[in-house]
Amino acid sequence: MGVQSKLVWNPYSPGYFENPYNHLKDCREQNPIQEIFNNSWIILNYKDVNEILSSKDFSVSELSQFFKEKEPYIFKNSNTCPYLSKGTKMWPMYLNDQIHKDTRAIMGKSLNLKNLDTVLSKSVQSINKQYQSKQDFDLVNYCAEFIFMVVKQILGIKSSGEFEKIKTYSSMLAKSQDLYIPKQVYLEINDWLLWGKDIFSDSEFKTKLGLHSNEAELTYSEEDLYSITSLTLMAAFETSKDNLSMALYEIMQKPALIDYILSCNQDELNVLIEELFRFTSPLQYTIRINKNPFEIADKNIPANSKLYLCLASANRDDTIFTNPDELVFDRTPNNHMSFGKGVHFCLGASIARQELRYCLKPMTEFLKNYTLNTSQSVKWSRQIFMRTVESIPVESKNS
Amino acid sequence: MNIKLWLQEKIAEETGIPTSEVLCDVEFENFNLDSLSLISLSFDLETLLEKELSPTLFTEFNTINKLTEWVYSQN
Repeated sequence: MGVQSKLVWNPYSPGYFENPYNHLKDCREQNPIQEIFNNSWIILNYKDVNEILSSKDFSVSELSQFFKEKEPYIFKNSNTCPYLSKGTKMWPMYLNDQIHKDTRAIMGKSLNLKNLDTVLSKSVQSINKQYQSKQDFDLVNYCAEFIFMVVKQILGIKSSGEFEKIKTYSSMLAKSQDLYIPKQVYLEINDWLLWGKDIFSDSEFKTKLGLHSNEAELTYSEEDLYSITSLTLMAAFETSKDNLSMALYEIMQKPALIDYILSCNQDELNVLIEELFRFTSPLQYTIRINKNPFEIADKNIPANSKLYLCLASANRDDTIFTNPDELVFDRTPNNHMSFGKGVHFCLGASIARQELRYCLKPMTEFLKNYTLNTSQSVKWSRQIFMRTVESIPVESKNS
Repeated sequence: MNIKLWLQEKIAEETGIPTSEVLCDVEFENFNLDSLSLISLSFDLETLLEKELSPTLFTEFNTINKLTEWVYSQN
């Protein structure tokens, strides 16, 4: 009797970018721990992902080091100044131990969260006013412009009129972490990293980072501070924009959910928001390295393997979540892992929650007058790690 | 377009091996092409064919002959 071949994880399987969950479910059920390249494994079950993220025996992979090794190849025959390794050097999700703790600490202190409630309320009013006369528009742009208003306040960015460029900048930085990126795209990302230095020239966040790092006697160079700032913008803008776009896309397709949001109280709304985070999972994967060899579900994983933990799959695991592919408005408990877990738990989680708490009702009230424009298709980005929707055309119900 | 010749020239450019020595039935890994090089070659092929391709194509069809056959089968 021959060996039955098991399903192989393949993000380029048909329809994956439009809906990764069918393929992830099949992989989780048939082959939940797979070696996808040499010494690289994908792990899809909630229990396994949760255990690894909660353990101290695993470290994060080092993106900057990867770029350092690849830069001679990427920049061969190019006159551009290599900046991928330097630009990503201080991204905290790729740092371990003390430098990770220090960087997180000064980032937390430097964010301007004073009056966040007011900023959110004003921004949502402003975006609804800006869009109220439009017969049709792109829901992703609506979300992106709102999040940009908020991020500008949090980071104290004074420059305006750069929205489109900053949107591309953030998207390219997000792409730098993805799988299967060719050198041609890395060269573009490098250009954007160099371009972005000017965004923060007068940013309060970067100034505060400098002050707090001096106070803590941390010797961060100007380039280190830029690296932290660029990551903060990308993390604050990209994931919030993606989460909000995907959440509103779901809401617009479900009249019962629209009614629920408009009539529920704050506690009910908070519960629903957690469910939206679980359901949309903008960060779909995270990577860990095992310091020592270990055994998991009869597989022997050698030390220093790269473990791709699929948060998106874990969040749809039916051994943890009843009816995982349904948005259950009042799901409790809801121990989703959309913000990761452990020492690298998302630093911006509370901001992301606040954003939805303040914008969901007024945005739903505004969008109930619109419907998805089915004559145009929704465009999903061919991104694996951070799920991104590029365009969701909507039109007025009166048009 | 002669895809076979295009692939030979691209691999020669990537590796520094003379085009005449890039044999069509030799697996790509024998030309010392790492995964980033193969993904980048796939991107070039995607641009050439003006068609979205899987970046794992050069791993699935791991010689010039196999890949060329696949490309022609798509038309």
